[in-house]
Amino acid sequence: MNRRDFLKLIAGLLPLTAVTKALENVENTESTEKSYVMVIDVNKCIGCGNCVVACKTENDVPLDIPISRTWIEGYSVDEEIPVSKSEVRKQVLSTSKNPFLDDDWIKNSKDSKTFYVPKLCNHCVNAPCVNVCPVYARFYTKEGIVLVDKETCIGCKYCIVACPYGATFLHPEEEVTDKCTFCYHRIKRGLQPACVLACPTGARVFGDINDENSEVSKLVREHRVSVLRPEEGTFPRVLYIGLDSYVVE
Amino acid sequence: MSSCPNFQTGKKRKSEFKLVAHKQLIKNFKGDILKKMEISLGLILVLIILIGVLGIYQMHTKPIMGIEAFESSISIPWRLLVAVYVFFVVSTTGLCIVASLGEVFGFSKLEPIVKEGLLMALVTILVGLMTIGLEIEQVTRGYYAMIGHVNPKSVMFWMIMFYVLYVVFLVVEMWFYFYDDLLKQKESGGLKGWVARILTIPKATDTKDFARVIGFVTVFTAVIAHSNLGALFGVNYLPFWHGPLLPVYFILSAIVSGAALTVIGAYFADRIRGVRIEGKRYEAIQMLRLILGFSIVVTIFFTTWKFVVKAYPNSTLLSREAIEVYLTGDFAFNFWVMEVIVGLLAPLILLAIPQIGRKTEGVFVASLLTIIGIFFLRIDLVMGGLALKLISGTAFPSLVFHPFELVATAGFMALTILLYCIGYKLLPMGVEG
Repeated sequence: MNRRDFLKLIAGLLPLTAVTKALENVENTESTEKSYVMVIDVNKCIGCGNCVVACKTENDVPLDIPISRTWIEGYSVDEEIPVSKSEVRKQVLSTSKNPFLDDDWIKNSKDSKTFYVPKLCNHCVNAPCVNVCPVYARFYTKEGIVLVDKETCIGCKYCIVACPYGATFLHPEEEVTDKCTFCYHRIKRGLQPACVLACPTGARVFGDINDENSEVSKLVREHRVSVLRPEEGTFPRVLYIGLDSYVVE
Repeated sequence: MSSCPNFQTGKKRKSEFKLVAHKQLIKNFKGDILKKMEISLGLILVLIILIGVLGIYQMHTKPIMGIEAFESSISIPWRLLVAVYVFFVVSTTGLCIVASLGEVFGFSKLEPIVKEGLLMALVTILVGLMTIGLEIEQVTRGYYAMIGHVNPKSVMFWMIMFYVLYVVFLVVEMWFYFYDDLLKQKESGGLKGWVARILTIPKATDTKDFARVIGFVTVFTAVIAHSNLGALFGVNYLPFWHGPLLPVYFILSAIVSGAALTVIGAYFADRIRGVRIEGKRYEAIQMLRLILGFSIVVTIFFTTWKFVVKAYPNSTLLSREAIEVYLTGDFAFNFWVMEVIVGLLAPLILLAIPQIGRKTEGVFVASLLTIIGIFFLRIDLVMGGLALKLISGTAFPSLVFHPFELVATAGFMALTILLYCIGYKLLPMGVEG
């Protein structure tokens, strides 16, 4: 084979690879993958903390340490306009003990605008934690969920630093980073995530956004939804209904 | 050390003989004291290192205190040891830059301190890499970041690559630079001779030229690696870090700590050997005084504008809150007293006053203050930048250090000094040739 033949061969192979790539793409778009999202209705959350306990129990996160894969932030706002004058009190529920039952909180929040915001990993489409992980211990599943490979994580904690939502943390017993997985082990079996099941008011709804008949699709069609920190361009998969501007993170 | 005085001077006048013997005795006595001091210093350092090892062991396996005691450590993910790591790599970059000025870029006044600079650069990068290697939670998996599952999109991956490259280049550079003196050292007995004989097994010619070329590559790698470390912090959307100027700032502060550490290293070495700093070495120290003073001025300039921009009312609310932490919050003491006064203003004044700055001791004190300031600057940069970050529902963290972190830090510092002393003993560091 001389050089001319070799070049011809290469020139012939290039379109072939392009065609096969294109075919692959067509196949992918035809068989629509699932794309999971969670819609959280802030108006419905009552701050009971069932989701936190359910999550911690399901996923082996120590109950009494104030870190959790999901947590509830309670806001009690004495609103004044302009808002720079309003007084914002904030409490976090992340253990089995509910701070919203404390006398202080009840007394303070009685005459104020009070609301509860459940939070968890946002499973960003452009996830900062996946970008920064030096060992690829974080990755996207084909459904778009961001997972941690605990066998590979070296515990450098760069993902904790990079996450704009503070949704990832160091597991105190396993000594690797940990975060919400949307209960991947459950949804793969057709079950709902633990927090969704435990919620008594149906504030959390989980489902496939590509399925037009799913409840999340309906909610997204019917409501104005927003995400946390849209300015970061992370494109979260956790959508909120009725989010207030006092919720900054 | 010869043990007995010279008795062949018996024909000389009695008083003269007495004087010579007396001087010799004093010299021996001084030598004995020095030796004893060295041994006790070594023992103290080893002791501190051992305690530090226990600290690291506790941090990883927690035999004494359970995880509950570490609740506050959950809320600041990067803590003292990361700051110590940054401090060490800042130092090595600065030392490498300062040494290269003398070796590569033709600042011939700095040549007398190049050896100290290179040795300290090697020691600090080795201890620095060790610090970060032991800081990560899964120590045994640390090598994953180099082979196997690497993520080229991650700044941290590049940091590891560049620093490993840097160590390789630095070692090669040092070998070429020390080669000629190692040949001379071959004849001397004891461990020193052995080291020289082993290190000169590979043969080389034109070593100084090679050293210059590789020195250029080394300092180039050092600057890339270190600015990359700045980017490692800067790419994250944390208001105090975020921005393209953080890598530049890192290089700047590296020059500050490099110049200061070179002064400290040279001063200590000469003090312990009992040599007065004079002649060319004095000139070198004066040159360092200039570099240090100038880089401190630039750092002050940089810090001021950074704070003004980030605290200006038109900046975002988060950015203003992040600066508040330093101006009036948890890190206010660290910032105002340790960083600004001890680290920047006091040394600048000391260096600027001619009566103090022209004395080597004055430059030494200024350098010591600068290094203390830079160390706190690192803590503030790493932990202060994370102070407003809420992780999974924890409360705002307060600035608390665990005793184990502190002893581990002391251990790493002691290890640096010990390695420097050992290197100084074994390598041909003597300016006399």
